[in-house]
Amino acid sequence: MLGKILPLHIGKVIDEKISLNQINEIRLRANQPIVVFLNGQPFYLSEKGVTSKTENAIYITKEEIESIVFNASGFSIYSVNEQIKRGFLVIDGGVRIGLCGTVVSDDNQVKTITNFSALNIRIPHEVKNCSLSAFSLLVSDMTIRNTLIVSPPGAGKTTFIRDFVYQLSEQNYCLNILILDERGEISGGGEMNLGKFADILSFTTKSKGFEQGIRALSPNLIVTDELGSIEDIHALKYAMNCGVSVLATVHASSVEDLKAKEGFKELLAEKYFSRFVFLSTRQGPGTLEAVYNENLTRISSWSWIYEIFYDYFACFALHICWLWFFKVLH
Amino acid sequence: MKLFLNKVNLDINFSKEKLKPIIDGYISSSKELNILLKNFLNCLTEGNITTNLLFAGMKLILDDEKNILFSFFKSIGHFDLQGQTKQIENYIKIFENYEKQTEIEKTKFAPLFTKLGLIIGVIISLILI
Repeated sequence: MLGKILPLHIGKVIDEKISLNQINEIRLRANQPIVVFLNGQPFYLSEKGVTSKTENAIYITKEEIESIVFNASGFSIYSVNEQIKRGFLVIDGGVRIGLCGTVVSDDNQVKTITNFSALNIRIPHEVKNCSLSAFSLLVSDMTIRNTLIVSPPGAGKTTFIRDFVYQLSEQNYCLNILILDERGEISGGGEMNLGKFADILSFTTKSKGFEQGIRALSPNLIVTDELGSIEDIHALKYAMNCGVSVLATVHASSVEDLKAKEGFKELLAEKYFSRFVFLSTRQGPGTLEAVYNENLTRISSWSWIYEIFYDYFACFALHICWLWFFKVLH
Repeated sequence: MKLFLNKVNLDINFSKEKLKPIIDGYISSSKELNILLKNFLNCLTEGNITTNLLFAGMKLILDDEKNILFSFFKSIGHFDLQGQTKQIENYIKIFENYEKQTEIEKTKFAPLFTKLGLIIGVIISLILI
């Protein structure tokens, strides 16, 4: 899929030398070396695959960046201008290309972005069973608790909700699930396996999608990505007040960050969500840090307990090693 | 070409259809235009538009016309909807001007060429007699 849009020499290296499953992001900046994030770690792209030295790195020109955007638009910028206005483009397989360039505005409204100077290509992944460690905490008696997945960018929120929806289907939770896929990332343009019960409403705003979806598709659960604006929060409240469960994600790294976000303090105080799942990149993308309840009290999960035991065991083993080392020295 | 541009304009304004399916679905009565469009699709796939590739296999085309067609195909698809519509309308006007010029040239030179043809015919027949 990337071979179709990238310049030939770059596409060839990525196709032949690196496994797409390992790539999280590709960062392209005009006249700078290409940076590839493999399992969360940054490397420069080189003719032999990846390198940590800039002298071996492959550089990209501004013209090549412009041509990537043109190719990704299907040679028709006008057909994807609504996405460009919002700063991204989604191609086959749910690959999201974040755009950086000159924003053209008129009357305080973004008309388009031109003069592209940097791109962030994010490769979506299906990580089967990644949501299982928190699954039992998010469901109760065949209903899904209103849940917010919280993490900084690139920590696996979308992958988590994608797997969660798949697991519902696998474990025969026969629910009508509506996926509001604003950027076409969750469903990956229909290429991701979301199980048997998912209806996908793509490229719609949350405010329109929630209203339209509840009226037309009568869902039991609405799944959506990246809450941000006040309009999103209003749409979310509308859905919850209609008796529909919501599983959503938001960018934040702690409870304090979450409270500081516009509109969220009220959302937390009124206990709209009964579960908060915090993810991080501490042990790679998708690390489950904690699950909190509506009172923002940490609740246990087997993986959390396992992690604590694991950490204690690691500390203990390290301690023994040090003791042995000093004993040998003396 | 004018008909083709009008179709593109209609399709992109109605459904924001991408260029490839529009061109794939268009069959012109003009062989030259069909070749040109096929070449353009090849150029898109190659990721590079050059005059050699774009006008490969075409004969009945002047350099001046080549320049205009090349600049059109080089830039189509690079604009937002408003810009794309304006670009197409602009090129429709340019092609209309070409049409007018050729009409004028036709009315100006057609009788001359007819007379020349007649005279040459008479001369040849006189020589043969």
